[in-house]
Amino acid sequence: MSAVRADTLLPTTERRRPARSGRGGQILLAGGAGSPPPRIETEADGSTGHRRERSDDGGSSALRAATARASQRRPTAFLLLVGLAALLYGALAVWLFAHPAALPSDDALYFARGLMRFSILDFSPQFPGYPGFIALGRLLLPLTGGDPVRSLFVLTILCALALPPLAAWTAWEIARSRGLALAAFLLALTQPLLPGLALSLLSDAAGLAFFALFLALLAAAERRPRLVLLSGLALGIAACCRPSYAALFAGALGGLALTRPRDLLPIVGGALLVGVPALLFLFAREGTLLITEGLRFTVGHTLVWGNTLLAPLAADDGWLDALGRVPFGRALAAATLIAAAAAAVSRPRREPVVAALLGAFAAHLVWVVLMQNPDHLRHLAPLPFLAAVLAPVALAPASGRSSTAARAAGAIVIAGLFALQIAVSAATLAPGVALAPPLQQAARFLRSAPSGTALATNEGVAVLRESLPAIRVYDMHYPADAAFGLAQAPGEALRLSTMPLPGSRPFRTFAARSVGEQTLYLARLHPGTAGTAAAAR
Amino acid sequence: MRRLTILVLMVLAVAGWTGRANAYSYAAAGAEPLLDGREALMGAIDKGDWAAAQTALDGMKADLTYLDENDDPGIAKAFADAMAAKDGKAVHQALMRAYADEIERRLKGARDNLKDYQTAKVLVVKAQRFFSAMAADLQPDTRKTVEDGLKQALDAIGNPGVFGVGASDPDPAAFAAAHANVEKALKGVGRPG
Repeated sequence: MSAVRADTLLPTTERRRPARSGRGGQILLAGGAGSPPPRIETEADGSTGHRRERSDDGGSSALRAATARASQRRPTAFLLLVGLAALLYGALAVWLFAHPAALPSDDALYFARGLMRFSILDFSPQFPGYPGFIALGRLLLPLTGGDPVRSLFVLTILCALALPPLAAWTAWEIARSRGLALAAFLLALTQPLLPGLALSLLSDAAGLAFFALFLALLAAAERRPRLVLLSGLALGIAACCRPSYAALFAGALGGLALTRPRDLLPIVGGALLVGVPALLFLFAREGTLLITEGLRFTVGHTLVWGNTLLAPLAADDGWLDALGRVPFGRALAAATLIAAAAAAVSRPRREPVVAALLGAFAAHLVWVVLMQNPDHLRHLAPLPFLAAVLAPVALAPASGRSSTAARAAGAIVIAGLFALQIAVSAATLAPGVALAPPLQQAARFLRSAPSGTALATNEGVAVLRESLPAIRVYDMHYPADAAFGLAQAPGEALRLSTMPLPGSRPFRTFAARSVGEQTLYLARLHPGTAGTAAAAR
Repeated sequence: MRRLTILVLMVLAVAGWTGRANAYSYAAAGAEPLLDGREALMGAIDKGDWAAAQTALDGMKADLTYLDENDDPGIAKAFADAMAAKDGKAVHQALMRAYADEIERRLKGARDNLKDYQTAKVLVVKAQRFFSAMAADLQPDTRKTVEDGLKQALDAIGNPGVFGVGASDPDPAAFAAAHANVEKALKGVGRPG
């Protein structure tokens, strides 16, 4: 059982009535800001026989108390902040929906195909099939006139927009502070990867949104135990939307296993209620070929084409270099890690929801470093989202042990995180413009290229082949084959890359819309240079 | 816990060992030497390393012999002549011809196995992999015809549905029409004249 019930986290102004414990049925009375230090007791849990700890929280964070006092004395100031946050949220929503519904990548194309005809073997979509994401996309098809691209567009934007309220809900359930919930909302809203998730047409936003729902329901289950099963259902949907977040989910469950293992059964049970039918669906469609394709895809991604740390041919630069290419990127990454560390230090060790958050953070961090491609910063997205909840939660110490200095440090972490997120967004976003994805900008430009033109690219081979039937599109994952094709092409030889070619100036640039995307560079290849074109990604 | 860790490591080791050979395959299931060896072959030709090119070609020998004996007499000689002349363009042309043969062979296999959804599907998908590897080198109209034909073939093999729900029977007539379109479009690809 948790060291401190969330009930004890009530701000001074909200501690006038006793709060009922969700699990053990105990009444825990919380102390005020000036109460003596906490008294930690251990007693038998009547319902389960487990040992549990109880704490009378004598302290509250400076920010939480200040926010509570402010909201009492100057409700208009708090409402003004809420109004500003709502305005920012609305502006983001309008800006996102102003973008054209267009495919930014081959994976998005595979998802769009999957909405119309599900077949993993045929890359409709790619392994492991993402049945939850496909099902949600199909639900939207009637509302988008049967257009699969628009369905994915609406789905990913809605899921991304769900993240700030879900972060706020989770923080509220843990800290019971409107100010800290608002801080979580703003931190999630301003994370620079959010627009990229929304416009990617990929499963990241959906997986993360349902994982966020799981965390919020898990936190709410402190007071309403029946929600535990519901949280399991949300986790199951998240897993079906984004199976590659498995480490994230396992980390959360691991944190829970260490702190409140009895919740695992209803949560895993709830998840299986969704997961088992999804797996049966996949096997019904693909048979045992699902396993063959899964093995090929997993090993290939890990060791060959995925640019992971384990791939022998991985690019020299890794995550640090990728972050270094983003203005303030490394500083923001450091602040994100500090936020998680602050929560780990300031919160009681046996608090289930915080343990789940920290477990998810640690597991996903390891997973991303080892198994994900640094070219795609969106893989990091769960980390800033978790930090958006953890940073405010760190400021609401439950044990009352934190000193004024520690609380001030926590406030600095939140302020620093917020400032850095704004700085990265300001340096990378073009809020006044609603551009098409870089790949579609390139396709539009290349549409006027004469027949016989040859293009080699690492990005969007399938999308470009589909949208540019008149030109030859070579896949730079097979550089020798591409170099031969470019040399034989009757027309101009072009190279589209995510980095400028060494020794060659791009004659056209297609701008990324947010930090999660990559700007594309188009260069002409002169005779004899086709072979060296493989040097750039 | 220790036993579990050892078990997980063993499973991963076996999975890694068994999967690695096919990891870079275009193939939906199983290795395809003609596809898997292409990059090594073209890379060696690009460097003018004909010994390495011959080594890469040797990896394709079994499949080329099969094609020569069953589907396209002369394909093995086309490769041999191109290699003897150290003519990279001719080797590439022979490779295109072999891919066209493979597409035709897989579609014939799918036609003969239309009642077996999984087999027919794998064969059409493998035909698609060969098409994908050669698509950039085809003329735009040929590319479009083959691409559309393979999509139609995939639709024509039917669908078992999910536990029977949404199932559709294979359509032999539609498959034959799609097959004929692909066959006609690929006729002459990779052959001189």
